[in-house]
Amino acid sequence: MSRKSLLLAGVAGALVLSAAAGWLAWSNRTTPDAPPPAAIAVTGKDGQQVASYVVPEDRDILAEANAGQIIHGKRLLAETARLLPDNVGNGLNCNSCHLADGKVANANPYINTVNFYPRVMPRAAREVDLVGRINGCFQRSMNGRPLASESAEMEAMIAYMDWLRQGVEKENRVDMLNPGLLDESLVPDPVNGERIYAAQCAMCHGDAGEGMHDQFGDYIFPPLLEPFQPTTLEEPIVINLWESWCPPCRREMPMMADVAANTDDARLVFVNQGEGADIIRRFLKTENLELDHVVPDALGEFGRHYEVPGLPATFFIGRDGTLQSVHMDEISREGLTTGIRRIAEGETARH
Amino acid sequence: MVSDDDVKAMYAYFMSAVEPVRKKNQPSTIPWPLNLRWPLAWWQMLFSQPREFEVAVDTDPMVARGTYLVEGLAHCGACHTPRGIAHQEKAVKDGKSGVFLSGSVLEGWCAKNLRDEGTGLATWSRDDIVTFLKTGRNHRTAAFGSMADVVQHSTQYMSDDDLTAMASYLKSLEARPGRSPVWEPKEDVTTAALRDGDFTAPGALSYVEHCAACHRLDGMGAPEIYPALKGNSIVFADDPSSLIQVTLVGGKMPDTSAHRMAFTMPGFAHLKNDQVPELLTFIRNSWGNHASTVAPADVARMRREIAHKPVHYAPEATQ
Repeated sequence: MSRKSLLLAGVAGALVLSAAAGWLAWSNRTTPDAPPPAAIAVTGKDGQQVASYVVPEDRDILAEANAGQIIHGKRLLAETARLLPDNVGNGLNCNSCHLADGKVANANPYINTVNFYPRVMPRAAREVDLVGRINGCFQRSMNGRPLASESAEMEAMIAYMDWLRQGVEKENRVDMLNPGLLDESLVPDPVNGERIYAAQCAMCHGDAGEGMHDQFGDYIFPPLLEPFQPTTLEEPIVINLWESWCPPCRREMPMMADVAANTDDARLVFVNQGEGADIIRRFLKTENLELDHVVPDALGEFGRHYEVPGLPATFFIGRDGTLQSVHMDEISREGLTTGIRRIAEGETARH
Repeated sequence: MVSDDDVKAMYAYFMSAVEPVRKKNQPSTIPWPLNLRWPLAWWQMLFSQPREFEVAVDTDPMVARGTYLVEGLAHCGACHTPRGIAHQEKAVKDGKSGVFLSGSVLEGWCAKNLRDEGTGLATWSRDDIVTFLKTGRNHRTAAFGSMADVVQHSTQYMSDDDLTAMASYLKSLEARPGRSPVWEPKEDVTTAALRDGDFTAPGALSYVEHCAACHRLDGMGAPEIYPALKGNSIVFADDPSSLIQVTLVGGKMPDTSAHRMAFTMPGFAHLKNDQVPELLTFIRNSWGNHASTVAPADVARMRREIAHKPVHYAPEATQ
């Protein structure tokens, strides 16, 4: 072989080799994909990390034995107003506050919810279980009515939250931030508020806060101000304003607790004026009182609203939501039961 | 191409009304050998000869005005006309081939087909186009990507007459040979399925999880706030690049004086390569939309493109 052909063969060989190397590099280059999902620490009672948690994708639900129930729960949380019209009074959905299906930090995630309850809650001043907590949202946040605890809907919502927990054990907690308490020292400024509302909120929620509907009449953006509509209450209500230091309040309380526990004609709600949850809890415990509906009204707004001259005061509210009669000062068992009978029968008392 | 009167008017404006600033000349960021100037003269001789603006004598005056603006100062073709091997625009005005303004992909954005054909502007009325160029959005869609800059810095300031003229011209561009001049949606079975909780279609569950909060179960979004996906020609475009890129990196509507707020869409680059294609194929074929499928390789390619995007010279950022 001549030197020339050797050289040519060498060049050709080098070309083939480099082409092969190039092809190998090309075919072995990494395919860019999403980064692995963030792992969030799961902490035990002592604050030590015991495991890690990854927010699951909804498509993982399909692998669960009760996938249908979980997806039903997911839908109810996302489209509460449309799917549970009898239980929602203001167009809101659970996910209006619990953003992104309750999966993101700082937006009230559902991730620790199942493990968090039952727990003694400051507003109720008693132990609240998850059903009670969800119904609290239905009644207050969504201005509606509670769901039956055994209902398929309630169980489905809890099934979704339970799936979202991804097996984190009861005593542990996924270390996810949640918004803190509101800064109550803020001073309302209606002029600046109007300016900010027009610039930042009105485009979606409407110039008059009327919200925006879709083609089916369901809210895309919920209303912020609804015209007052008298609501039909589920049952007549008796509201008792009290404080733990007031002797007549303390005297009537055991009798009222007894009536409350033994009547189906009205709901008795005990609104404490100006005391903290701790004081309320301690009082109820030492007096050995079992009350279903205790509301702490730390700023005494109830009393101010009704302009009560002193405590206790008892209000009788009919099924149509209007105030029927008021009793100032200590009430007798007879006065209470008569008042309840009147609102239950729809009579207006002459006062 | 641009009339002498307009050139003179712009010269007068630049020289008298634009305040001078003291600023050093910037070094070129174009790499060798592309930064050499002399090859450009050859390129120009081959592809960009000076020409006079001309339209057929019987052209409607409004369409003629629109033609003048679109071919000239608005230079829509720079992005919306496909380019050839030497990066030249394949056509600088409308002709038999119909290649002018038939859509092109630049930096991973599909500058959509602007011809009056099925996947072009057939589903847009003249008013839809005017509203879009004036405000950056209309009842069905919103500008994003590079087009958001065009609306924000340019077209929102144009007169209604000029915008109407441009829209009239675009609506006069006939469908390419072999292409349908109309777009017929399929029957919408998606809205009822999703509202009834039937998430069994591939990608439906991901759609409900990641997209439905804004774009809604009926794919209609909220008018001029969240763009619709149903019947949106960017969604069912022949080339899904823009849809893929806006899904991965998100978008922001242009700020215009017409609206109080410009809305943004977050990016979903955290969704996996096997999840994004399923999701986008679902969106491209739901609520009556019909279009080709998106493959995992398309998404991987777009991720690579995004990672190697050039950084553009942005005057506001450096002054």
